[in-house]
Amino acid sequence: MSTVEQFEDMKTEGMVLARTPRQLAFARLRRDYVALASLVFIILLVLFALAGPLFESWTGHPVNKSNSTGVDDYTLLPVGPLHGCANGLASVGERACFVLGASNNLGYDMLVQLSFGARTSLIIGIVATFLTMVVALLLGVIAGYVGGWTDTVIARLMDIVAAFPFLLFAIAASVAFGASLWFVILIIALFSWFYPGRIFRGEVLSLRNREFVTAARMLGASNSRIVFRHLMPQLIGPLTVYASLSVAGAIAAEAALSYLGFGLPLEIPSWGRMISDAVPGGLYINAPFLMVFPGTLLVFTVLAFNLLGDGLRDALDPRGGTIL
Amino acid sequence: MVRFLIRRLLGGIFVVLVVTLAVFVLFGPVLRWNSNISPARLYAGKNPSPEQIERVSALLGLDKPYYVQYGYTLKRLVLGPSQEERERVCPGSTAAECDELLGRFGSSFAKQRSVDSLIWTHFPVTLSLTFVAAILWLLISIPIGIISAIRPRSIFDRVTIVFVLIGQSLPVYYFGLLALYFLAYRLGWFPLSGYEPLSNPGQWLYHLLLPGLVLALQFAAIYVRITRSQMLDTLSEDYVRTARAKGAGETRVIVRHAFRNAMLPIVTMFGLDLGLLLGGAILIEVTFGLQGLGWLAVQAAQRLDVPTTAGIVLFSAIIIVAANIVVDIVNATLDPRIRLE
Repeated sequence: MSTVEQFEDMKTEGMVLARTPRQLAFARLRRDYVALASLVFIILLVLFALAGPLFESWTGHPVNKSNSTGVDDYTLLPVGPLHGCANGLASVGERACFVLGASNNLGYDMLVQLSFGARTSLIIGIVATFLTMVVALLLGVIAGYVGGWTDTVIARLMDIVAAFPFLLFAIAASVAFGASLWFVILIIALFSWFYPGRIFRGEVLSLRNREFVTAARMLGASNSRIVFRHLMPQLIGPLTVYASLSVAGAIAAEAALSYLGFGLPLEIPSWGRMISDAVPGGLYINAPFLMVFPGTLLVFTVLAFNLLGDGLRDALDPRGGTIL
Repeated sequence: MVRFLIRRLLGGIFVVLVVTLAVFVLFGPVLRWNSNISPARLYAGKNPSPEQIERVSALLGLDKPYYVQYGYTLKRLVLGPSQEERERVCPGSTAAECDELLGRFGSSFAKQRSVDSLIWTHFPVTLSLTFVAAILWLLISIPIGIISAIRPRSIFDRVTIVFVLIGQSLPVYYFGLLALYFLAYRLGWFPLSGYEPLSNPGQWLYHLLLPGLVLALQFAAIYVRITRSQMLDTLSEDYVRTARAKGAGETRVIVRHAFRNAMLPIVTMFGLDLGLLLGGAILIEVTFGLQGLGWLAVQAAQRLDVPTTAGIVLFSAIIIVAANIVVDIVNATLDPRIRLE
């Protein structure tokens, strides 16, 4: 029996049961249908990304491979959704059906590219967020806890990074460093840590003079014990919230860079590049699905992580404002 | 006030210095170490011989140690190109001719022009786009934000929340392509791309309206949010209650008492966003084929035109820093408490 059910039971018996903050948060999250729907979408997206090789063998269209059957012989446009599917969905090989059409004028399979693009987005979103959070925690906690000129230097650094034009600098840096997955991850992390960093700094600043910290210090706790045992647990709430928002930001940033044609090497599928593939020669005018499939998936993914982060914030801190 | 100004100015200069250093390291040592591309090789044209590369290297002063090069780059940025460099790069031409070829930001690899003149040719496009978009987003977001705050949890407020969420998650280039497809291609209300100079105001606005609107809607999402939350905060302040108690009309309370005080963060954000956009609204410019600074930066980067890319990054950093300082001054004027910090 889960704690919440237990609680419901006790309530009917007219008893009051104390609940930990974590139980309260989960109970609130369970009632937040928008956040739950977002979570379901994200789980489905992960499954969709994992199914890439399945789609490859099912359609007979390997990732990043051009198919002559994917381009219309007369119009030279990528074929539309359900092309060649008259003989059933699973006809294999060159004649196989394009469930969602082809994704560019080389005849890549849209479904396969979308699935592998989802991998790219998720990997970049998660790894960049991990790095972002590590740096943000480290610098945010140091700035907030140590204070003094250390704080001043770190706070100024945050201001400088915040004022930097991300895309412009990322484009310039990608010329110098060359295209690679790690470059994209690092440049995104480099330009995203300041925001959660400011939040963590603010939290620590407001926590470090509270009674429980003074009490711990009075009992002889070392600085590292105070930071790790007393302060860090308080940061888990904001950490989860900003991690979710940061995944959304990182996915959007990668897509924007790829849309402009910088950052990722060509052999890594990306939704942003799929959208940009629809642009040359006004391809999207004649075949709007080329941009609509990757574009819609991108919007929903970013929206889902944003809404989840928002739901988490409401669940963890009901006093704080929602996204508005 | 003077001390406050000097401090902010020095801070700004420091940031610009950091940016110049970052850009210099990126396009000097990093580029060379990473891809074995030297600027001299890029400048020398197609398939240059080693002697040609060496000659160009000497011509551009690239044979000197990095710290000498960096020092010179800084000096040129502040004072303009030296007489010695002018004679080296454009021998036998008048000062005016040489200015076309060599400026504070150097000389473009891809075109036989100074980066400065390239920037000034493309900047009006970005300026126009920013101007149109900024007016639109303020006109859209502030009334909506205020109405939402006056009637929280009403249907209007809830619909607004949904639009804000979508606006924040919709990539501006995808939104732009959708707008182009439906409004420009299917309905034919707007041109598909291009820019007309201000000398023809009607055409100028006609070409900027759609990109301006797309950009504005994205920013409007954020501004509605800020306006709403600021207004909610100020509407619950004591002085608003006092104003009501003294019998002030609701319009007067909202406009004179609440909104005036809610404005400060909006002014701050507006200034910073203007600075950011003036440095190049890259995604919108590329999507709508507007040949502004952002578009130029992408073109230059694709062609490995290092001085132009570096020049635009520097230029936009200077604009952003200037916007920051202006915002600080405006804030300090609006709210005297800030100077005491």
